[in-house]
Amino acid sequence: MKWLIACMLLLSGCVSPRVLERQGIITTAGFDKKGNLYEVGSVMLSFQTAGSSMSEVIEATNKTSKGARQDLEAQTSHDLGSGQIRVVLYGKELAEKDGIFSLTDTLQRDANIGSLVYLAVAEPSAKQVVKSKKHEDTPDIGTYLYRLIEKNLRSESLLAATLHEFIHSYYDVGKDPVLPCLSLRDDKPIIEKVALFRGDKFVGTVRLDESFYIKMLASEYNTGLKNITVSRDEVAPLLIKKKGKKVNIVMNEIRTKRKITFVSQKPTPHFRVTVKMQTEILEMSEKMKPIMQANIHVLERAIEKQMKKEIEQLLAKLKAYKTDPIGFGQIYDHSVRKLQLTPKQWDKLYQDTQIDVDVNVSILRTGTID
Amino acid sequence: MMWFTKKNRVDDVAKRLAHSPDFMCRRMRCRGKIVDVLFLSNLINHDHLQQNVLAFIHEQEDVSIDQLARCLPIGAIRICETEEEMASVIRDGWAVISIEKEKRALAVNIAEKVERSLEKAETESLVLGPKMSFTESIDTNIRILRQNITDEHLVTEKITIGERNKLEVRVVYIQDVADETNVQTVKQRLSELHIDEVIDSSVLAQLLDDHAYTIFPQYLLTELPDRLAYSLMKGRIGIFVDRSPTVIICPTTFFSFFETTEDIYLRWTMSTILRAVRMLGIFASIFLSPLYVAVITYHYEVIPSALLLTIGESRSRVPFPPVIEALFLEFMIELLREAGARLPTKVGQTMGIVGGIVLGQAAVDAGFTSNVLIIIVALSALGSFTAPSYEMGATIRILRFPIILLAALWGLVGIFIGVSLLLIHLLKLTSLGRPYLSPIYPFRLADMKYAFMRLPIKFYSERPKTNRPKNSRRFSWREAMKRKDLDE
Repeated sequence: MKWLIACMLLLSGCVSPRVLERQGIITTAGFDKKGNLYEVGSVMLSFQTAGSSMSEVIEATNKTSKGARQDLEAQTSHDLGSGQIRVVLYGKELAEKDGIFSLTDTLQRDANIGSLVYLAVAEPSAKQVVKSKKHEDTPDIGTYLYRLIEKNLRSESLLAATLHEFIHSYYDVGKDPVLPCLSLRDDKPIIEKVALFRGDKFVGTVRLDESFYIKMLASEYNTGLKNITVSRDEVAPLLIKKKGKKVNIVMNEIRTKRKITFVSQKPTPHFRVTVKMQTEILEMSEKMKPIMQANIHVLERAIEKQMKKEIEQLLAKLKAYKTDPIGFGQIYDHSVRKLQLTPKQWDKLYQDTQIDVDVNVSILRTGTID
Repeated sequence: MMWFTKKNRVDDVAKRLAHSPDFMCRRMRCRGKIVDVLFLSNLINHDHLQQNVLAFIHEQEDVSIDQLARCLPIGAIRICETEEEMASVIRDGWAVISIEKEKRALAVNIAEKVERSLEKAETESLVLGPKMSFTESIDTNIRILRQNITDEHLVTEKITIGERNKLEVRVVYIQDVADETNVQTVKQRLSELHIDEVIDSSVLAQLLDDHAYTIFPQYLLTELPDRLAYSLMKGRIGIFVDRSPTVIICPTTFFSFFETTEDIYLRWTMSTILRAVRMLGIFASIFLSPLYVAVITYHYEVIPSALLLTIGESRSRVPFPPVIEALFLEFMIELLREAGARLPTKVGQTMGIVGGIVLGQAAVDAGFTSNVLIIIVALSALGSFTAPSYEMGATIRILRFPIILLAALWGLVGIFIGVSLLLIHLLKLTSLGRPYLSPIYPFRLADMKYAFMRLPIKFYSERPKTNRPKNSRRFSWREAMKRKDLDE
């Protein structure tokens, strides 16, 4: 019996080996749509015997993404392996017209691909970003994009970019996904904007400084930098010169805590957003009087007022795009008893939702000068 | 008639000694009696013979066996009745004094045994602690042990084994500490041995094994007196074998092969960390190369992106599949080790340099192996050498090979199959009938402090339960926990 089992194990069930150096390792893939056909561009990394390894962009056009994959296979002597795929790009046009769910779904189903793959929208098209030759010191464009997004997620204003988070937000009622939006400057891919989605369709972008507020409201925010412009009148007691342009203040080491409370359901949904922020001042565009315990609140109030204004502007913009990346709908759904919220219902309610914003800034340090 | 008997006795003894050319019969005439002194000249101390035997007999007024037995200035004497008995004591280096007309003969011990002087331990080296090691003479070894343990309950029981080549074996234990059943098992197994000869204690250990078909050693072999003394005091049993410098310690557990006496000599913080380092090194030694094979062959997804290029580039030069590459390098390291062990010390060192640096570098340049694998294999070889027991170190080195093969067959799943089989096997093993994987299974929480770490000494007031000591109390826990003030 023992030997029978041993023989069965030895003779069957062998997986075909995928030896590392035989693989053409795809680090990034970009999808566009032209008419009926998908255009796929992949960055393939192959290891070289002599010198540094090289990356190569291969392209194919087909009706389905997996069909395009077969066409790609025909173009290389290596086995294409998608196990190391780090970033998947979707062209803006594709994301706007067709939605990207069918493409993310196949990624999710593929056991070789982890759910921590980064997704991003590319402007003007995924193909152009993938074909970019400028990738700093990284060996290929895929690794560059991966590090670019990772860094900005960790320390800057990007909110979410992984496949897992996208799928999660997509299926969640009352919450819409966001993705980073890559664009080219001097042929080098950079993150300039954040793409907003409704369901799986791209609806518009916000600037990174606006995305700061989305991130602040959607999650706890730690570290990072924020530039805020306040009018002269607000900080008049602190100023030495009486005339000039607006005053710019840069805050660093920002720590925020946010609380969204559902106030009332009727007549329209009513939320109160409370943000508590602790920060330090890093830079000011103008010379000021020494900031003491007595007059620090002047600065704090001015920042609070400006921030409240900016958040309200952003919320209005999100309403105009009919997208809800912060997840008010989710809170509504959780807070109202015996309610099975549908996306349609929330779309209607969202437009009339009243959101009060309350910002509370406390400046802990004003820099090491004092 | 009398003369005839006399002649007959010497011849008879000579015949029993297979007519050895060094067999001598010194015939003297003292006080009108013929006295024969029989001995093997290669085995005895000649000064001793002349001064204390021959000269002494000459000076005696009355020459008889009884008189000599009373007066001879020699510690070990015995009366022999038969020729067979005489021959056997002569073979041990005694001299037999036979007087005409007397049926009995007197045997005196004037043997001179050859032995080397006491030296530093070679196979188990320590930085701290006593350096003396056992030698090939059982008498010296017992003497060393008695110097180490002055406990009145120390028992050194003598058992003779070997049907042709007789061998003295001593079972040593502390009577009121060691478990009765364990002692009985050892004695029974020794007395039930039917074998012509046993060369060394390591052979005896194999003969006493619970399981012959296993890769794991079941008895600890040591040449350190302090290690033996420590084990005895904790309730284990030692077996001395004559002509062998290593002592068998039993029963053992898997974890006792990773302990050294240095763990006790060092302060507890250091020895806990060092023991952890050792365990980690051994774990890495078994699993690093199989992991490499599995990951490169099947699971390239798990390689971190920062390492992907380095590994990929060094692999791209190698024409073989990863498993062949790994086996080749492992084989090379084993070859180096074996060559180093067979060669004299000075040549051995050169071997190490030639093998390690030249061959390794050349293998990479020639595209036989990848850089990454060289590091992995060197690390795992290093890890296996940290095992304090030579036998366990060898076991671990061999254990790698089947797991590499499993990794090549089924990847990570294969490694887990290997680990599972290994665990099942270890769970089934016993040493002297006692579970091998104690204190993990059967679970004994109190023994964890002996197996995996070292705490301050006051926590060791109980002997390990794994040894089933008759008396588990070492000292009073309450006294030890008291704070001692200077002015008390």
